[in-house]
Amino acid sequence: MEKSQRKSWLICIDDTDDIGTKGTGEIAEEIAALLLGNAEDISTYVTRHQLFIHPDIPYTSHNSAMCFKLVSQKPLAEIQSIAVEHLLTQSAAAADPGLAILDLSASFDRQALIEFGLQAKSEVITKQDAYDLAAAQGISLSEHGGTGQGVIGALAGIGLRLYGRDGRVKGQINLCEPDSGQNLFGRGSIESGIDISVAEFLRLSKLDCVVSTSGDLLKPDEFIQLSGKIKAIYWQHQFSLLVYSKQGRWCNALKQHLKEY
Amino acid sequence: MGLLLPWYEQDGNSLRFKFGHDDYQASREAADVCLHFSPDDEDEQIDDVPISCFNCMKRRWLKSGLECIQLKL
Repeated sequence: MEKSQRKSWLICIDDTDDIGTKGTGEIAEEIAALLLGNAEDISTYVTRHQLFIHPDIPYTSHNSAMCFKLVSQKPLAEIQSIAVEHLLTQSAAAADPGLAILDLSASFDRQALIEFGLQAKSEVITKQDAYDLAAAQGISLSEHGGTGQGVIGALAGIGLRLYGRDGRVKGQINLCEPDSGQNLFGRGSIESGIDISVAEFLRLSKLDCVVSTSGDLLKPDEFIQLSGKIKAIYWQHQFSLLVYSKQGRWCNALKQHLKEY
Repeated sequence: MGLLLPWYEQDGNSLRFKFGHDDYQASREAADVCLHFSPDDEDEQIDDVPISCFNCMKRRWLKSGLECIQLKL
């Protein structure tokens, strides 16, 4: 099959876990891995999107959805089948899983989906609202156990990923030599800080940019000090390292900074 | 659970943190004495000091803070 027949998809899941069970983000990463059928398929980072915290919303502990982009020649039915099978075996017994799949090459109202996502960060939304919007926009939206309330977050996560200015990237960013794939600092944290130019950091991390907590884009020749675990955010449709200023130096963001995203 | 009462107030079978979203020091002090602290998935942690109620898998975020759900488990 020709490369031109590949399509881009956004896939989002929500409400799959319970206290002490495998997290939704981990399940999303596993689905992404299962969907990577051949060397030409591409999956991007999983992004975590915080949704509304409210007494009327049944969430386990933090109410977030997990979304990723897939570029693949697989048809929708196959993508859905693989994702559903994994959700059914890996979701917690008490969970209410939802799955949303958007064909990015199809015609849809991007703004309506973004507004739904933003609304889900500040208002209580019903399942019917989610199903109505999904039907109108041709999005595959399905529930897989429990109350199925996860469809709301799953659709909202799609909207927030389209928004492009919401969420943080699941997991930590590794610094690898592009040619050899060698991980320069192992998979743990960087114990003693290292100074690195923005250009070199972007080359090794494959992130798109470095941005400060006040929203300023760092230039390639500026330096940053890295320590601990390197985390990224989704900012202006780019996978971005967030940095803050500490005693005149740019340092990778702390968890306390990242919680705002 | 009595150990946590300087930082939490009991509301039925729920323990509500008294200090909102942002008092990291109180969150760390409470977790230090708690016998049930268990770290959540790292992507859900918000405190750079690991032992903190803000990082515990048994905390549930509320609009104005968090509750400890240990009693409900």
